[in-house]
Amino acid sequence: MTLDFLYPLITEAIRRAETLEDLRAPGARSAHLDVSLLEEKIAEVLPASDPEGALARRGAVRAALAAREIARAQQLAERFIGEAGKDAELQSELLQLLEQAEREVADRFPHVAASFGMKEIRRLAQALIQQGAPFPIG
Amino acid sequence: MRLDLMELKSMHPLLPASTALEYGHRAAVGMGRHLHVSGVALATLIENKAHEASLHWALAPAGDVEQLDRNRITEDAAEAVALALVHTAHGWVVRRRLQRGESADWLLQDATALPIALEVSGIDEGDCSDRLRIKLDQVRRTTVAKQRAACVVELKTPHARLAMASGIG
Repeated sequence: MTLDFLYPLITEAIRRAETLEDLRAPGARSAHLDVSLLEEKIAEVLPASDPEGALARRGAVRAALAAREIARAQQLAERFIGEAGKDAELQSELLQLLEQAEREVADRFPHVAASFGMKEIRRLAQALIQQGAPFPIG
Repeated sequence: MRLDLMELKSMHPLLPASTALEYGHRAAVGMGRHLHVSGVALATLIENKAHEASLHWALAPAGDVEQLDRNRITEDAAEAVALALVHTAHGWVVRRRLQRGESADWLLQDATALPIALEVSGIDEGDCSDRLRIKLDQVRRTTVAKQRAACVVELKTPHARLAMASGIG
């Protein structure tokens, strides 16, 4: 896929996601996920060293977080940090996005964050996803 | 400068056709809300220098204003005017929309293919100066392009101010 094909799509997808978010419409999360998937496609076309490639990588993670797809955001960020090589700025931006998301989750669930810590909650969530069944958690 | 708000797609080939049409329509509704008619003069300041401009659009049905969110009309009308202005004045073309958090709304490129980040803001009525200063401060934070600009559009006059982030606010 070329940028001439992908850029109009990402423009349209971002506008849609933002409009739905402003309306607090139920489709906002899935619209943000669409944005994340398109940004990931753009990231496949452009290297991390290209400013627009870095933009797409930040965008894929940012939109995954907006879609509340935390596990996807973390996986993407880890992959993109690896691709960033010596680009400390992109690595730092990606880590900042994840840290900000973690703070927001901790603010929403202060008791859980204080009792167990978000790192432990993330580990449990990941274990739950990997085992494919709800209980017992491995 | 003649700014034809129905020609956004031909000015910006990477702007989705549906988005270009929507912007044109909402600009028509926004201008109609202030009883402006196509051909109205747009008071334009580019880097604090006045330019003569006129805005042109296709008439929108009168009932459309009732069906659209007031703020959305203002914002989209401002996007339409700003995108027409930057293309006509500078030859800039849209590459893509930026997500919230990137400190700018658009990634464009100039005639030499150098990237420019553009932040757009719309107000229904009032002084653009303070808003432009705020938007220039905002767009300075973007990392996506070294050239950064902001454009504020006020619908009532109508009036548009465009400035580079390194220039005069």
